[in-house]
Amino acid sequence: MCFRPFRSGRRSSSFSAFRPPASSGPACGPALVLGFVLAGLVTASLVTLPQAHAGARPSSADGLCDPLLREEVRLAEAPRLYVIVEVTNRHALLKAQGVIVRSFPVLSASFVGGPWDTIGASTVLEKRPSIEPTPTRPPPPGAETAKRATDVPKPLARTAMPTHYELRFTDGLSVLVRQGDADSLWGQVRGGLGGLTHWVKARVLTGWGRLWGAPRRFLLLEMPPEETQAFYWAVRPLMPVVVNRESC
Amino acid sequence: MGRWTVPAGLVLLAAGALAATPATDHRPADGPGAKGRAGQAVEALRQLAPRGVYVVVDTASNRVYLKRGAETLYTARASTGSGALLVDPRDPSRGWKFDTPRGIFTITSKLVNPVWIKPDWAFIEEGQPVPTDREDRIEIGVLGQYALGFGDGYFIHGTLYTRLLGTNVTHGCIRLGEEDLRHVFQAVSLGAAVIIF
Repeated sequence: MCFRPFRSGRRSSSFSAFRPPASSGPACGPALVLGFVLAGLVTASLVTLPQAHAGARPSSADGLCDPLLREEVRLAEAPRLYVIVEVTNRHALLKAQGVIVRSFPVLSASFVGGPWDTIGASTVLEKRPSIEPTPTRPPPPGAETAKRATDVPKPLARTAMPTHYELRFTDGLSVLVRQGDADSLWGQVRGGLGGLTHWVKARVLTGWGRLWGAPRRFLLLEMPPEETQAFYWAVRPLMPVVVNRESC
Repeated sequence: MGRWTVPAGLVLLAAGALAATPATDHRPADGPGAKGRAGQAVEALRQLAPRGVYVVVDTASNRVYLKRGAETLYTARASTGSGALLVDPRDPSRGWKFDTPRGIFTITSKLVNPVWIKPDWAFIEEGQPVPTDREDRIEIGVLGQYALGFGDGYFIHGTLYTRLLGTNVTHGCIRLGEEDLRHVFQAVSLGAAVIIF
């Protein structure tokens, strides 16, 4: 019934006046088309493409870690902070000059899209929170505060940071971060739905990118709630991030 | 509203002695531990690491850490920048953003009994006229016993508002309690790294 045409009678003279007749059944055509498109994009993202640098991947442990270490030396030489996401070891390390200044535990990590066979620093382009953290404004100036200059918001603390967000990078990489470790049943259900949303989003965007020849890569991270907020706070635009899939 | 400046008006006068001890290299003197390029890279990273005792500031949890290598020697509660904006009501094109700068810095000065020369924003924030006489800007005793400068007018110093330690309330400087400040001041040398995130 979903493919039944909306109108079978005479043509309406006004587009805005056009309505499907009551007998034509549920108007689920667009939803079905959208569903097919999304399913197609997800399928496209699942197809394994030949890696651009297939065969160049070193096999020995030394050879796997070597490019990562050399990349880190390059980053550590500059006076800046950088992040190394150790997927196998389940943590994201904020580092400077080769030393760890903060370690963020990772509960789970998964990859969508690719290619992932090269090691190099990606540069943070922007942070896209699910809810934009905004500083709360002070109450309207009264007798007590009238003498103070206006437009002084309250501090923006770590607790105001989002627990679901996307870090977009300049080279097509996106890191989708969300909180995990929910205690309650409802929290686990909500977390599961959030994870599914991230997965579908990553699959659809990867499939879309493949259709248009613009490959995208997604790293889906789950962290404890406070750590997602602290990680959001710590990561800044233009900060280099290296994703390490190996156990180096 | 187009022009924002950092509150670099914190000017301090050293009323006491300037303690300046060169940084000590506590790194192990052993050479590359592993053969091959990976071993060389590991050694290169070790060479790049901060020398001696250095400071790490976590502006999210408002903590200051003293570290040597990977070891944490000391932890202190701190107050860091509020991220607030201040606009000059008389000149709306003039404003300040009270952020603690992030990145890697070095200790450039160590001051005992510092004196605060109040910048313009301090008067504007209090709704008071900005004085023209420099003498009217001097405040004694509000910065604690010590101050460690790390560039652009930013300092690690003491505070009268100890109940606010652990929160983001400052104009960009890093505030410590009296005992913690003394400990940090004694442990850190000129040229030591300050890593702020």
